[in-house]
Amino acid sequence: MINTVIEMRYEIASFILFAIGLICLITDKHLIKKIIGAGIMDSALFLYLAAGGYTAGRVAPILAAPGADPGKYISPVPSGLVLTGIVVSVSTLAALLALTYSLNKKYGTMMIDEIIEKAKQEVKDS
Amino acid sequence: MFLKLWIDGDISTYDESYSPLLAMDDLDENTDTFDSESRHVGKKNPSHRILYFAVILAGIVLVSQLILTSYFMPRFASPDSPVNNEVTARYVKDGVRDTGAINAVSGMIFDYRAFDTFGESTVLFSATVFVLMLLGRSKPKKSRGLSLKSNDQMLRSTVSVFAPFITVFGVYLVLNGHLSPGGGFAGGTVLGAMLILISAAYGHARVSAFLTSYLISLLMSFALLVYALIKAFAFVSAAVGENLLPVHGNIGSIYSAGFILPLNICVGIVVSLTVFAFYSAFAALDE
Repeated sequence: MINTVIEMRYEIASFILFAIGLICLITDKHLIKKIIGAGIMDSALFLYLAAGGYTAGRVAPILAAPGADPGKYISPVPSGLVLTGIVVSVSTLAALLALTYSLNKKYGTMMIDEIIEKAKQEVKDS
Repeated sequence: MFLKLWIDGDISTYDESYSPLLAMDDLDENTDTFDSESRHVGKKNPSHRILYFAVILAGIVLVSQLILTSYFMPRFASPDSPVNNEVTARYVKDGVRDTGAINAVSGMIFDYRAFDTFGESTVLFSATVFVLMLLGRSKPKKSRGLSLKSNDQMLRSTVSVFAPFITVFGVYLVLNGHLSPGGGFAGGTVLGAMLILISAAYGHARVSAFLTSYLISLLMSFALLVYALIKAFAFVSAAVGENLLPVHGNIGSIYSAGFILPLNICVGIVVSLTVFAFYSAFAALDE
């Protein structure tokens, strides 16, 4: 069992990071901390993909010629997924932060429960 | 305002009542007078506390379950893991012949899966438009601006020395995406970081004077349009059945790999402008 943990340390680290991000995303009432939790979940996913794409003794897929030996190069698929995913996660985080800024500007608070209360109050008043 | 705090370290002019980041400090004792009663009741509400611990328990269960699962998963870095299946073998074996790109990752994301990359570039574009829409001002203030301008002589000298090299490195990454590690995503990020660096050193207003949000949207839509047209041409030529695609050229030279070089340039433009537009939108709040 302990050998498994040592051998699979990257995957296990990504599981733990994912759970930390998920708990942060669900339990915390502060919007910026929720966004930080989502960012941690993103990073955990990239770590998992990168760890899954690695194969011992193989090199990056910069191929020399047509008909290269597939046993010598790592798989390009996880690398491509991580490459594009990182940029997309940055853009989604920026969009979330912009939304949070607008909410904070309108309601003057960052706590999600207060924002909900104030929004309900607004609906009631109107 | 919080960007000013980070860059200048100048706390004295800081408006405490408004900053999102300082609101973090007031987690427990919020001085906000609104409806503090219900907030405290909600805090002492035992059902909330139970929910809180239930979520943490669920997280622990999730982690232990996943760690148990990892016992049955393929070993880390083992050659017979399911990643190394026939798809990978095909990409590595025939990638150079099919796409003409030495870099198999570029060949994969710009040729085999180019449609997926187009969708991702569209996500970047819509996120940029969304952020600019939410944070952009309707009418530009007159250029009192330059509030982000730092008087840091060290930063300025360093940037003036390094900015050309960073630019050349980013352009190299974009243009050599099919030959070496890099490509539109990595090179675009480097170029966007260079724009951020310049605008941090010399003031955001100077950069955004020529790189306005209108120009950013225009350039990004143009790049996306070129990408879509190129891929539409590829699809049409495949449907017609004739080989209208450009030849792959000498494998390993810069004019090779068919459409991968222009697609890399398009994605590089989109990514660099996205990275800069995010900084620009949040920095413009400061002025």
